[in-house]
Amino acid sequence: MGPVGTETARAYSRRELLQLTASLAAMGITTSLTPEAIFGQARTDLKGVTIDYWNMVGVQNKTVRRLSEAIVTAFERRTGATVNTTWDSYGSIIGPKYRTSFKGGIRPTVFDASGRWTGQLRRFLRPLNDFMEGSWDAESREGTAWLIPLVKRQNQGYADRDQIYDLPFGLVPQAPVLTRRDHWEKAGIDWERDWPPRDSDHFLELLGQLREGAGVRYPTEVYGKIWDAGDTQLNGWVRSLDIETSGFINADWSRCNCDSPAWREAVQFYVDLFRKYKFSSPNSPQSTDEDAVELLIRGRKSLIHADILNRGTLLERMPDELRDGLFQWAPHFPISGGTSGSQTFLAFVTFHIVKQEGPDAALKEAAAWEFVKEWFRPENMIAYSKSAGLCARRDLWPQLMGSPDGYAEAVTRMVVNPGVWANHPKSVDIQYNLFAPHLQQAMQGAPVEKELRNYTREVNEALRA
Amino acid sequence: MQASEERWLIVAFLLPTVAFMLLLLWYPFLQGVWMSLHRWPFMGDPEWRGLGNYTAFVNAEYFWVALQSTLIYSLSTVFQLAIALVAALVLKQRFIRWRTLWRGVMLVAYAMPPVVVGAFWLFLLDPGLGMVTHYLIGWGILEEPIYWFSDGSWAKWIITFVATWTFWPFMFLILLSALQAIPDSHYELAEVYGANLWQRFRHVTLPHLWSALLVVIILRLAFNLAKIDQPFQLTGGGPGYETSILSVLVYRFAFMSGDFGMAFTVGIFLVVFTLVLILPFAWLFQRQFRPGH
Amino acid sequence: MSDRATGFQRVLAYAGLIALLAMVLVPYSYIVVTAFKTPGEIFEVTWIPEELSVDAWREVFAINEFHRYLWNSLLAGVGCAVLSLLISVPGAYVFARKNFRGREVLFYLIVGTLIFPFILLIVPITITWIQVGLYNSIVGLLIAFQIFAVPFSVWILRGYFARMPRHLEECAMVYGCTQFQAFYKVMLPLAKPVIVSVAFLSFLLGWNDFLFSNMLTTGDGPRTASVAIYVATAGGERIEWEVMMVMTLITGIPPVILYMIAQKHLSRTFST
Repeated sequence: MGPVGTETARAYSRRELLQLTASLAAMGITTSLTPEAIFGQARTDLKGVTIDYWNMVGVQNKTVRRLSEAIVTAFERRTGATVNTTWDSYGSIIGPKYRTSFKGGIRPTVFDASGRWTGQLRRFLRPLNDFMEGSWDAESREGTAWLIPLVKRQNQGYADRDQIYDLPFGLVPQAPVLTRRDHWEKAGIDWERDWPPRDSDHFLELLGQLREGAGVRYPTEVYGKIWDAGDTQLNGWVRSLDIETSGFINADWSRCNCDSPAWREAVQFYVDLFRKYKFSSPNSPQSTDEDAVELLIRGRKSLIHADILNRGTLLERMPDELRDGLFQWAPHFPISGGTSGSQTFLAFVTFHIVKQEGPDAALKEAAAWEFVKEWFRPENMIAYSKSAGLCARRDLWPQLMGSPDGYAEAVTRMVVNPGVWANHPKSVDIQYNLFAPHLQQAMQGAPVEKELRNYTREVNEALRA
Repeated sequence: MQASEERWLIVAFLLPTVAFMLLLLWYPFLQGVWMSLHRWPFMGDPEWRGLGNYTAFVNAEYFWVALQSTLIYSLSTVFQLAIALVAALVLKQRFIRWRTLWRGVMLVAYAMPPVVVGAFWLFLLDPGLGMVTHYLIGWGILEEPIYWFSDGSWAKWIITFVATWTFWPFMFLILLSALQAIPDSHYELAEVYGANLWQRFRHVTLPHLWSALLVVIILRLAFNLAKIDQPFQLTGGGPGYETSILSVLVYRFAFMSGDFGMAFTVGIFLVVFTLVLILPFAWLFQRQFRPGH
Repeated sequence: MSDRATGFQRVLAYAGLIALLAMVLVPYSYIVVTAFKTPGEIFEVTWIPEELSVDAWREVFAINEFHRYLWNSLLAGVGCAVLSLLISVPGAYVFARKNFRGREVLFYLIVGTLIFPFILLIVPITITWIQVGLYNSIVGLLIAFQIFAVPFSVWILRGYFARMPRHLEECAMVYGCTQFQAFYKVMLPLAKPVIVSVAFLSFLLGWNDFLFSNMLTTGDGPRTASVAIYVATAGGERIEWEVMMVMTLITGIPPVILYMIAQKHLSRTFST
């Protein structure tokens, strides 16, 4: 007996498929894996075609993983193609795995990732423009058309920026405000008047009242851990002060923006929430929004920023309270008020098709595109929204509205004019590896200006190299 | 005749070991030394820098912080040794019931993947939610939680502690083995001469344990200093650079910055650092095999 | 120290045992408890779950098919042990018992590699493995493990061979053995304890490895339990604690059992 295949292309029995759909249905989720797909006569347009799919989105939670399996299976049943799924994790694209295997020649046919991390792999990818224009149903194309300028902006440092290599299917606006209403009642704050926070002063005022009135010692949290320091609420605050310099690097990717006055002011506010006002716990230099959500659930935080991936935790842990409207979401607020609640950064969950070689290259690429399309079917888009975030198709958003916690209302208001992080080949280095130590040092008392200056110098060196 | 047969045996037997060593270790390592003299991006063309990477590293603001935390992290070897020695001495005793079971139990930490053990301690030590803080405050030992991972002076010790908890059983199983091999008659003789507990340890146990002690110290020093996944997972090298031990820096340069020139530069510092720590023990170990010893 | 141990000694030893067991078992039992908790109770510091849940166990086997990964881990561990013996035993034997020019230098060139920061070898090895077709194969994984298994195996094996009585081979040859037969028929059987010990220690390295196993495998390849644990539980932003604890518990058991079996050989290996 040789090594057993791990998790690829399981031949599911119909019973197992029914179990899979039933377990999703129990969470109120339906996918394109319908009874017709399970019992109907499988079509055979793509019979004999095998594609390799590297899945990363499944790592977000168990539901997304099940959802991925359902969509893969539905696609197989519908087309006769075979999909070899590899379950992978963010560490693989942030770390060495993807780029090493891509360089060595081990590549999937199609994979999902986050649009800001794939610059390093760009040369291996196939532009999707022709597929999107020539072989896509009008609803999907029109529903996602609004994103295309953002994708182009994310890639504006590349000569071929008009080619779309990353197709967003999930959206993670960074990062909405999340609170629990009972703390507001306890603190005697007028919900109608004061929700949601309007600007930094209002935020501080609310935190002060919550600390006094609700007895929560550290009512909010700013995040310092390497993965959350540079991509949660901080960036939106910079953007609300100055759109021009809000990205880590400038428009033509020639230098770092982070010594700008907007960065200094926003980082100072971020650090002050912790050091000066002590509204954020001493754990701040290493804290994460996942931890903060856990503390919020336990009533030990009142008003935090958390990306919508955390809604899965609330659904799992506090379904009743969620239904009763105890938890409420609101858009991220601009630091000095003014315009709107939309001055945020938008992270994408994206699909990518890898350039194929050999005689059946075109067929495989086409099959990969059919697979991507499967994810954009309305039922799958909505299922994804329910379990992990906001779906890319704007035409489907109305169907998400009206849940008692108001998450869809909050996050859809955040994507009016969002920023996107540059998909520079060194984006992981710039946004996490180099940034976190400096922010953490500022959180430990080093002058913000000095840390930002040093960080800017390091990024400029990395950009030149 | 005899001689040529022996020569053949020597060659044939050495071949796999030496081929392995050259191909898998020395060739890439020497290539790495060459890379450390370049700016060597992951994809793209290398550019000669001479000793530029080395001076850049020595002058980096985190250089001394990194060395200091590496030194503290290497103390994990001492802690592992202390626990392992006590455990081996205890579990050698015949009068202890169910010894075999307890010995197996001692191994559990080492039998689980270190990444998992790291995540688990993150869970236990979480200042807001973890069990440790819960009890320390509940029992009145602490008034305030300690922010182990975000307080620079604690974080270094915490990664050292977790490494100790995870890896001490490796030392334990070698030390216990060495202890078990000491014949009872030696102790009986010592007792006849009226030796007390300490004297018996000093004059019977220790001499028999000596070579095993050196073996475990050398192996664990080397293995501990090469650890990456666990410390990186616990603190990501922070806060600031406080827990950026050399191996974590290697990881950050190689895999996050994609700068293999710098990664190998730090790697070579790590080799020298490890060598300096190991050499005294290696020298002591070697001395035992001198004739007449 | 024997059965005539004094009362003081007994008290001391039992106190030590209790302290050690507490150090190991308190966190470990908490892993066990957590494995049976519902997600809602994970962060409650309780030792008896309010609601006993085996959902995580079902999840681990039915959805994640963890048994397949465990099987791969077993192959990785056993294979790592066997291969490291094949590579190290002959070399170590010659280093210990034969005289030839350059012996010490060669020996230290091998053992010295113990201190190489082997993660730096990961990228060159991955790319080479892809080129020569070893990527995503169990053999490729096993060869890569030798990077950390061989140097210490050679070292421990040589120490043992060197301590064996001087004239064993000569005696064997007097009875008509060739050089090889002397090694194979006389020395090897006598070296059984050290062989079992080195095999056990190499097994642990292969069983627990994460970095190489993760880098060198994909899809339907021989991905091991430690990779599966990482991908299924901790690879995203949120950790699925109860699932992780179930997987951890299961992964920890085989090495412990093997240790109980290998114990008596280990004790013969590391005596001076």
